[in-house]
Amino acid sequence: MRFLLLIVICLAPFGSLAAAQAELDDLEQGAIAAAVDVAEKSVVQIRTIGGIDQLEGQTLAQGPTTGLIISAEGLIVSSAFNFAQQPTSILVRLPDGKQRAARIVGRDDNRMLVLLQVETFDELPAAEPADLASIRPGNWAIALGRSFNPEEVSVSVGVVSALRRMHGRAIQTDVNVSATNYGGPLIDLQGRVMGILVPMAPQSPGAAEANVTAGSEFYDSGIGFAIPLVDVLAVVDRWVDEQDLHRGLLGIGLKPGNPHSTAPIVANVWPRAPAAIAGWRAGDRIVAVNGVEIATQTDLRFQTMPHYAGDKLQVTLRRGAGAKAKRIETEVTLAKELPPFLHPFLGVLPERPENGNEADVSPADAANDKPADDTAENEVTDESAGKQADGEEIEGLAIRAIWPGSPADDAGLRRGDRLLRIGDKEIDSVEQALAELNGKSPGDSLQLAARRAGEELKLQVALAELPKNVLEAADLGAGDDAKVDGELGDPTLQTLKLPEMSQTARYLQPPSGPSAPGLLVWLGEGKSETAEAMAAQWQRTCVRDRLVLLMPEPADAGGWTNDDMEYLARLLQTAGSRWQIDPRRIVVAGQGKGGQLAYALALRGRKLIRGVAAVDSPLPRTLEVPENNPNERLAILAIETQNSPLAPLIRKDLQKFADAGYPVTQIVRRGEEKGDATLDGATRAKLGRWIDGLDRF
Amino acid sequence: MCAPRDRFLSLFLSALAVASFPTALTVMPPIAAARSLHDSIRDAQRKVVKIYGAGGVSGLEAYQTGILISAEGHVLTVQSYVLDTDELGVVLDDGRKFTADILGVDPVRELAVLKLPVEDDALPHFNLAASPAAKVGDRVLAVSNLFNIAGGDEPVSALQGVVSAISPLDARRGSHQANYHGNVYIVDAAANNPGAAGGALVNWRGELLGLLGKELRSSATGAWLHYAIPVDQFVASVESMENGQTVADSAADSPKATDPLSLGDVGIVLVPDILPRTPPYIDSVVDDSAAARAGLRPDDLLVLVEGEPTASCAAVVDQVGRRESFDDVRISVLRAGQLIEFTLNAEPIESPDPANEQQGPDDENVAPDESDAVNRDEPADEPDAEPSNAEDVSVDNRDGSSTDGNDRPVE
Repeated sequence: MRFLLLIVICLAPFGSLAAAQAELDDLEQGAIAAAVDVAEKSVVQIRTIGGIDQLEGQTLAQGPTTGLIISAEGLIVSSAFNFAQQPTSILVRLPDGKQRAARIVGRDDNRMLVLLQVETFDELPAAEPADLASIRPGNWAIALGRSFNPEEVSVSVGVVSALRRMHGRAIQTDVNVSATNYGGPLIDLQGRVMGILVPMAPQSPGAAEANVTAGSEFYDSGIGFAIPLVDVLAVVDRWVDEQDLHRGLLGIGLKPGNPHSTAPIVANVWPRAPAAIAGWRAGDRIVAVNGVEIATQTDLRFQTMPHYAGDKLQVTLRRGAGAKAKRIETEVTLAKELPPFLHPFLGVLPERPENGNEADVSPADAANDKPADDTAENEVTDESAGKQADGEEIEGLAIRAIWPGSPADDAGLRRGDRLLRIGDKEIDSVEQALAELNGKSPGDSLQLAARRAGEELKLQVALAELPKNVLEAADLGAGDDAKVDGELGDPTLQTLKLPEMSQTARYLQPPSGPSAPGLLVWLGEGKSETAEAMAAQWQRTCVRDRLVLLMPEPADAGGWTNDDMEYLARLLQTAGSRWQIDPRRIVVAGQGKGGQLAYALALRGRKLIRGVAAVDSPLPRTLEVPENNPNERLAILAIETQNSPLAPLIRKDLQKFADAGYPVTQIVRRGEEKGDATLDGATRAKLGRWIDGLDRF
Repeated sequence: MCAPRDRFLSLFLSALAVASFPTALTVMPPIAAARSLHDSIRDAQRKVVKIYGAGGVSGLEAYQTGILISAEGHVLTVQSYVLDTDELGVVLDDGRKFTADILGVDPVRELAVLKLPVEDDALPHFNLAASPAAKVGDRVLAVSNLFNIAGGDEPVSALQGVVSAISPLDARRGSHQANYHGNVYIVDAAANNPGAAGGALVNWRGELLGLLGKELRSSATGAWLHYAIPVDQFVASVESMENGQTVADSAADSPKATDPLSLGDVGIVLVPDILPRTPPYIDSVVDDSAAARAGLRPDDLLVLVEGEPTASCAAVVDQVGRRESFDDVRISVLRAGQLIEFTLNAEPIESPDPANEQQGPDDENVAPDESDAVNRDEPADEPDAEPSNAEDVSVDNRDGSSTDGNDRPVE
């Protein structure tokens, strides 16, 4: 037993240490309880009544939630998550047990908060904010909620993990944060409120739609966020006045690169956006915001993200390089949303890209091909034929047609001219022309340079908006119907099947020609006899306008379902490479339900699809019109049967697209051809020409 | 089963283990009251056992945790599929392994008491009778073999946190509501993960506070819960299980009335309940009913019954049903953004004194007119809608209750 004795002797000093530690544990425990006592009087329970059950497939919490009293007059702040269901009525249970009706004063979609007002004649115990300077990582942090038990707050204890998270908007903590305490306070050991607990999705600068439930999947994970109360109090008067506070936008794109190491250089400026109004230009380097030096894109976000729409920023830019570089001081007022992008229009229809090599249209090759051109719509005028023959015109972009009444028409550009420059930018592809024009707005005026018969012309034009009409056949150059007739015969339908997919697609291919064909995907009823009929009817248009007609069939004979979407997306990819489709002429179309599916497909596949043609199909109710994007131009063609009962609905949808800046076109067809599944000849021809004109600019 | 020789060996080893652990010795009186966190963890770990049984397929773990509750080898754990085997293995902190028998189960709390065939009677154990209660904010330890991290004589895992809340358990597993609805300790440690059920929740002195439950999601938020059932909620049940009894399902926890009050009794017709959360708007008020006399109106939103929030039609029906048919019922409605409280008197007393706690601001003038108007319209338009049913119900009630001798004016 000498062994044991030895241990006892050794342990004597440890014993007193343990005692001290235990005493410290008790003191800490007492301090936490005292802090909770101080803060808990400002924590209320909130009940909501009515509203939706689900948001984007996620079932919304139905239980009581938490809020924090921030003024004696009854202002209460809570997490936007708690109001995602958009309740019809709100009840607040004050800490003294009284129930009060409350109304939403406003939302803050930058910090994911909601401000409530309860009707009260009593002075309410407002939370005391903790000074930001006193909050440091490692400090005790206690999260309070009132969802479990109205009589007693719930408590989770941890530390402050980090400051200035979410680009300077939130404190990070390791306490358990979840729907049980969203809207409740994160307090310090003195019982002062450091912040309001909210779910926030980490690092998602590009997310356009602010989803109030984003980040809630990280509940109880050791990563929680709280919006500093001092930041909320700083804007609360304005919040009450303006009701809703929004994230502030500049309206610029940045040159791509690692955001933590790449300098913020403006890649493009959204027309009419705050940055455009302040005079920013592509190529400008952002040097400082409100006097704070900016080295990286992340630095820039830290300066802009905490601000709201309506805030003014003093931004210093550096423009130009080397000795010519100059500093420019600007003042920019952040906007809630960017004005819809309106595609500017010059009035030029470029030559169709050459077959098999659609991206790089080399003018020399195009010229060589011209004499061999045997398609109807590419008939060559004498004048341009002469130019092609001399073989000297290798620069610029060949003009196939001029839109009647367009700025180009007014300025005197003609078919056969070659466009050399827009502004001072050399142009020899459609891509370059669009890139140049997308930085402009309708109404802007600019200078063009073109070449005609060896002479350079300088023209001044004022840009218009993309037109709504479809070009007449005559505007495209007289179509040689006889030639088309010569190509017609028995249409040969072929079948395309994708590996591992049960669906099949039938297609009709135009005869090989000099220019890349367009693609018309028709989402029909999927019956093969219809495909035969379709092929017979569409053959002329397909030959004349060089279109591949692709008619996929749904997996389920009952019709199209959402499950077919993946198949269609893959089919489009396959078709694009299989036939070397001209990327500016990929169109999905359909009638009725097929048209609605075409909308769904087009709005999801905007990188690929350039046009959607819907026959008697309103926009599906589940779809919203997304923001227009200059780089993913999507043209909308609505074909409506005369006196269709759906007409008012369809026109309303079309207006929505037009308001958002999309190029929309409407065709009203006469409804006499009953029983015929597809369109009448005139409408088919118009649809073909619409596709033919999709690369206009 | 351990062979006798093995057991002797393991006894010897465990004696060594104890000897090498000074804090287990009782020879340090000055600091006995203030033990360190380390001591508390070690002390609790010795009283927690690893349980191995059925399972092991399709995401069902074949292990859980239990706690020793007697020196003779009684083990408390959760009742689960893991126990559905004849070869239920229990491994003590010192590594000894036994095959346990099930003495009794409590299907409401989903608990089971096992007995280990031990011959010594000096096992370290939690004393249920001497277990303290915890408060919200108290620092706690969850001690269990979660994720089966520990094997053999390895001590089980300890997690620290605080008691977040003490609240009735409102939880579900999949689509099934949990059987137990009593109070639980909600903790802010990730305590209830696979294998943790049956583990101990102890305070920083190592004293047992509760038993960690199975993995459940909150019905209110859908979030996973971390919780333990407090000792006082199961101490009586454990006693009967130890005596080999299977506890009968006596979970009459919802205070249902014997002769429940209905909305018809007070003359309220809610809007048709078509959604899970149909807001409880009053569709119409039956003429001459308690609701009409109190001044309730169509389109009032009925948000509180007896102070309990009622966010849906179903919640109103449930809350009203907890009152007896002869009880007054206190309700609050939202009307034009104002919260107004009323007390409804189920009995149709033709009293000349209408001052039965009416609190509506302008009841006297407006209410009678409106309820009249409602009554003229409703029965005519919808002959078999609720108003007439409601009348029937209240007539029934009158008949029924007049037999128990209450004097009330009939007709």
